[in-house]
Amino acid sequence: MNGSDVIIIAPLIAAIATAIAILVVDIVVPGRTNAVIATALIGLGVTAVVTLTVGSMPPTTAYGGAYKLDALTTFLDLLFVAVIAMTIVFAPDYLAPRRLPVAEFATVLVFAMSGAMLISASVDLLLLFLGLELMVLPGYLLAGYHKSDSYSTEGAIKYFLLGSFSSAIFLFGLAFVWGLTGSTRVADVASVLTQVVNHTLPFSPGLAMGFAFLTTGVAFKIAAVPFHYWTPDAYQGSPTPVTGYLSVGPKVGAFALILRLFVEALGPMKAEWLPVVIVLAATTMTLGNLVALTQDNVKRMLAYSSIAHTGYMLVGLAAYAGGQPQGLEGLLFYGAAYSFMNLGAFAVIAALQKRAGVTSQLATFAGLGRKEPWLGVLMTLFLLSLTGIPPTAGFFAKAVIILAAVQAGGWVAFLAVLLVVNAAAAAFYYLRVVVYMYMRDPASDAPPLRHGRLMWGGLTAATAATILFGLFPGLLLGMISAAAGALTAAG
Amino acid sequence: MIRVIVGAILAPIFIVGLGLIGLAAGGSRSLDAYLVLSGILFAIGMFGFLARRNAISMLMSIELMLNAVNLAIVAFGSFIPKLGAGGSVIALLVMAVAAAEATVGLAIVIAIFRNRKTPLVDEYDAMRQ
Amino acid sequence: MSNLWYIAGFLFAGVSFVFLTIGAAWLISHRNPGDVHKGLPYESGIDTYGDTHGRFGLSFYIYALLFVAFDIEVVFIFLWAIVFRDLLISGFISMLIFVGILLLGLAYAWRKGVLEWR
Repeated sequence: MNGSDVIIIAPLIAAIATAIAILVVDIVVPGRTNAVIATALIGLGVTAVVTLTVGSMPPTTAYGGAYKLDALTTFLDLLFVAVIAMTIVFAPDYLAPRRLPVAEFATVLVFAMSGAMLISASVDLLLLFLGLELMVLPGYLLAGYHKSDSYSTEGAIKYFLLGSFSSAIFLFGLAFVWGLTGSTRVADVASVLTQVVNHTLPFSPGLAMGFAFLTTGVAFKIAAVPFHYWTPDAYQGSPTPVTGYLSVGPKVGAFALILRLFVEALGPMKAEWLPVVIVLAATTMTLGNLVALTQDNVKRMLAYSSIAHTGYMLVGLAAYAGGQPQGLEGLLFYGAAYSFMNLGAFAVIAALQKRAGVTSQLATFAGLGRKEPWLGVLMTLFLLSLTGIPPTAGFFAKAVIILAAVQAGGWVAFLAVLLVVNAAAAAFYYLRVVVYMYMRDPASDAPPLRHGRLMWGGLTAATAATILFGLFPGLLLGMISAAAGALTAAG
Repeated sequence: MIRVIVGAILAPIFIVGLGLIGLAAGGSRSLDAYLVLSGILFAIGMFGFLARRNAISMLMSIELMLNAVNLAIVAFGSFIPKLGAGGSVIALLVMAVAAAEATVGLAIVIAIFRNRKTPLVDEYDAMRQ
Repeated sequence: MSNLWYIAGFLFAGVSFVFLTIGAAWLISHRNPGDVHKGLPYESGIDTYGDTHGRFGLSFYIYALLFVAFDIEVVFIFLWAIVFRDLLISGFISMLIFVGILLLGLAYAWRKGVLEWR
């Protein structure tokens, strides 16, 4: 270790220091929610500033080429910081009535963020695995955060068992790829594969098996069909702010892993893995949407719809493999837009559940538009954005991916058609919630709830992002094309 | 008395047998043998995960899978000179990750056991529709 | 090819060993079905009571979990100790930070009352 290495990993250090600071605050003054949240937000702000400062340096590597600082790292780190900050802001309104502590929640969440940030910067298979574990282990704990609630623990155990099962599969693949290529560095794996593609090296069955296992492990993590079985229960059972985080943070983190793995390591073989991604994307978005249509529980419905969104993002990857680098830009833009709109939708559910005992059934939303007009308007906006209606961020995200897929041609263009059909089908179940909010009478006469200032602040941020990135996508596109450029230059 | 005599006869046979098996295994210095063994262990773990209903047994199966991976890693590291000491490093990291995972998993199993009073996963179906 | 015969022979020997031992024990042992005291672990002394498969209190698990979490740090400390001469001061500082974070975790558990015996 030397001085410049420490500077390059400064964002990671800032993230971990934030988590530790929250713990220390809770040790010194236990049970002070405001102090905890202030510490967390200040720490995250510092992390964002450090990320930006370090990110303005020219791209470099640290720790013998295992850790890479480039535009992709900076972009994803900032996205993770935003996601975690919003989740922490949304949490107290849900946690306080259920007597759940905020300090542990924030600490564990920030530790998960440091894992995601490690993924976004790793160009070494082993470090990618470590980052993945550091990201998902806190996720298991968070899913079971309401430990006296039997739904929460049930979701947690399903998430944990299938999650660690997939980690073992991923690791088995890693062992074989490492043993047969002789290195865990992404670039070395890529150079071996280039030789394989040029027929200067034989392609051993062990290597093929290794990549198959790696792909399966990652497919579990992003909940692609047919590896999605843990998703609905884990999402429905978890406390609502946690569900919001789980549907966004680990998903974007796992996509960061996919980018580093498929684009950088497996880049030379993209013609070979393209069919796999096409099949995964087609089944994932179709099945996710079909099952979402039949759900009466909004949290469960959004869980299935998040599976469908995974499929849309995979279309971006397929477009890249089909020869259109803009596909990666689409994937990254979709990840960012999806983060804000999905977190916003879950925040509205969490706000409604401030009154303990309120379920996330569709009936809860009846008459919401008249009873709590602001929440109704915001929920409508987020759902419209998830559907992909202009001028929201969701529309532009879908547009970029569809354009790239159409230009790629062939079977990828077929995926674009399937995406449009799916988005139309998805409109049905998203808009059903809107219909309930404005055309049904409220089920109970309970007076409207008062929501905390933090909740309103977080909702405002999510709304602003959803609208701004829809109206002025250029705000984000510059960073994203730099990030995608860094990826393709390496791959 | 007779048990003691039989035991006295069988014990040396057993020990010599174990030694012979060890010699035979040590005699076959091939990477493939270890990889096949690791694959079999991994498959046993996977089967256990899919077939058992007890959450603790499933956790143990996952640990078995991770240990199978470790065996493959150590075998690669000792047979392929180019990999150097990397095998040991990766194996130790995997052990640390496995321990962290087991800790989190057991904590979750305890939490759900307190709620449901059963470790059988197919009875965790409150959310099935 | 002779190697395969070796393996087959050992497989046969290993499997038959188990059954031979059980069979021999079954043949040699003399049975006395009426006497319940033969089934007890100790034939003399006070009778045992309770079920052998009794459950341990859940509070033991928390200690076990804490033990595992802190025990695994030794994996890294051993490696660090081997190369300590090459790392010197930077290695010392790294390990100080590592152990410091772990100690903070312990302090947290202490403060939250996890270490109280319940």
